Amino acid sequence: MTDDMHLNDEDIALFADALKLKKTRDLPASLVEHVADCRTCKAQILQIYRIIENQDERSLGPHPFFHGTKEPTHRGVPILYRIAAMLALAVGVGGLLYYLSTRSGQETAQTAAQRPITSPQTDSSRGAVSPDDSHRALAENLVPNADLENLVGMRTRSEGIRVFSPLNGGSCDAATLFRWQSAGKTVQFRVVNNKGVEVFRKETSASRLRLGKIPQPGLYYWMLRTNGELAYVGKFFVK
Amino acid sequence: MNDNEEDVRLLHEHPDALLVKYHELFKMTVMEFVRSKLVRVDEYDEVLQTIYLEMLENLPTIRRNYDGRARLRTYVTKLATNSCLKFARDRKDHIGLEAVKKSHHSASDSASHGALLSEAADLFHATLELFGPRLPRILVLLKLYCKLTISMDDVSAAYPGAGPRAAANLVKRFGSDYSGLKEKIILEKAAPFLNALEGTRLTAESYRRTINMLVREMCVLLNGNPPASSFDYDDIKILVEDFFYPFLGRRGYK
Repeated sequence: MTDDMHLNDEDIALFADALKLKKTRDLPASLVEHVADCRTCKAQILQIYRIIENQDERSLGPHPFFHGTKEPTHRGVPILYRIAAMLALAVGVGGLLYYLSTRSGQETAQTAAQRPITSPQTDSSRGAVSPDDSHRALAENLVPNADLENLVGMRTRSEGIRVFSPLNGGSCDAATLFRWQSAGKTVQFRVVNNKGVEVFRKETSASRLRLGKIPQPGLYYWMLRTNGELAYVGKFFVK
Repeated sequence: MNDNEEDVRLLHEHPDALLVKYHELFKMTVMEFVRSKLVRVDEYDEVLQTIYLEMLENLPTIRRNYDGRARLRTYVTKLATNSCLKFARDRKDHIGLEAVKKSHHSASDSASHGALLSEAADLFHATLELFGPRLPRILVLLKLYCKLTISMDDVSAAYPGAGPRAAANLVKRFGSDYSGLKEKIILEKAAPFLNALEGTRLTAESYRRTINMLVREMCVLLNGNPPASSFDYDDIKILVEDFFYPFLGRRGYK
């Protein structure tokens, strides 16, 4: 402690290290109790934390106070076991996909054998979609819409709308929270695909919404309108 | 020999090599002060030079005072910030805090406000950690402030010695959606339950002042002093909500 009963420089540094390493519970109780009630020390600790926040811990080795000699873990599971589990899962999923693809190939062959002989033109119009066709369809669903792209992230004349999530260009699913602040105004929430076709619409005075049902994989744009004016355009991907 | 041990060896045997190794760290420190406008951009090199000079001048003191608990690089970062603060204080044309505040681009004007908040989420989590043993109780108050439902786990963590009936009463009233209630009504209804849990007799107004002071403190800590950002009370609500129910794309509360 300093003469004016605050943390000294090394205590401040130690606390900042603890925040970085998520080890505040391993700090001396006297340090923690002082900081809990001291605005000055909190501010100094955060000032150091801001500077060291993004430094790569892996290159720095064990910490002299927190030791850091234990194998890095996540919720008590050694990281090697996690890696092994992920590899096993990947092999299992890969094997299952291979099995299913060979099975469907066999079924297609059997079905084709049972089909009456027709002209090649008719044959080509039946049967399962080829991988190339499905990839082409997905690629088409990802082409940006030039008109909407120009509006993404732009704030229009409508005041009082602040958008917090999702971040533009991120991927979304049924549980993604669309969150904004509209000062209680009723907004029209709308989602269109990359071709401008509407897939979702709702009028609401709430400031949050979840889609619930997720559309097909592709690129989508979402919009907020208030008083008939376009207030915000964002974009997201569905994988 | 690990990284910190090597740094300590350099501190005693080759301090100039240590300063070269920490060059990037010093640059980041000065940038932090440029961002908060305590240091002007055109003073960047001068401040950096000041840090080097003061480190070399104070080497005997640094060697004596460093006792090996924190990482040496973090400790030296703190010393570098001390140098920056001293530089800013000693300047004759010190920028007043109000001028700094006015010069800041308001976060609410930015179309990327969500991105700014997302970046601030980690800093907010770190800020909450600083409240140490007070945190569980603070989290209950923050949930009331943000109109988030309160669970039995929240109450048990905040008031571990409280009677089960008092805890159950608070959860019964605020364990389901109450977002339609006004702030004043929430605190009027919550005050008796909180008093039963804490063994106090505070009024709703007292709790309101406590919460306001808390949120104000969080704003100041998050923005820095002088402020490098301009997050406001509404932003604190968003960050609190994200802390419990992550949606800003960062780690959430476990």
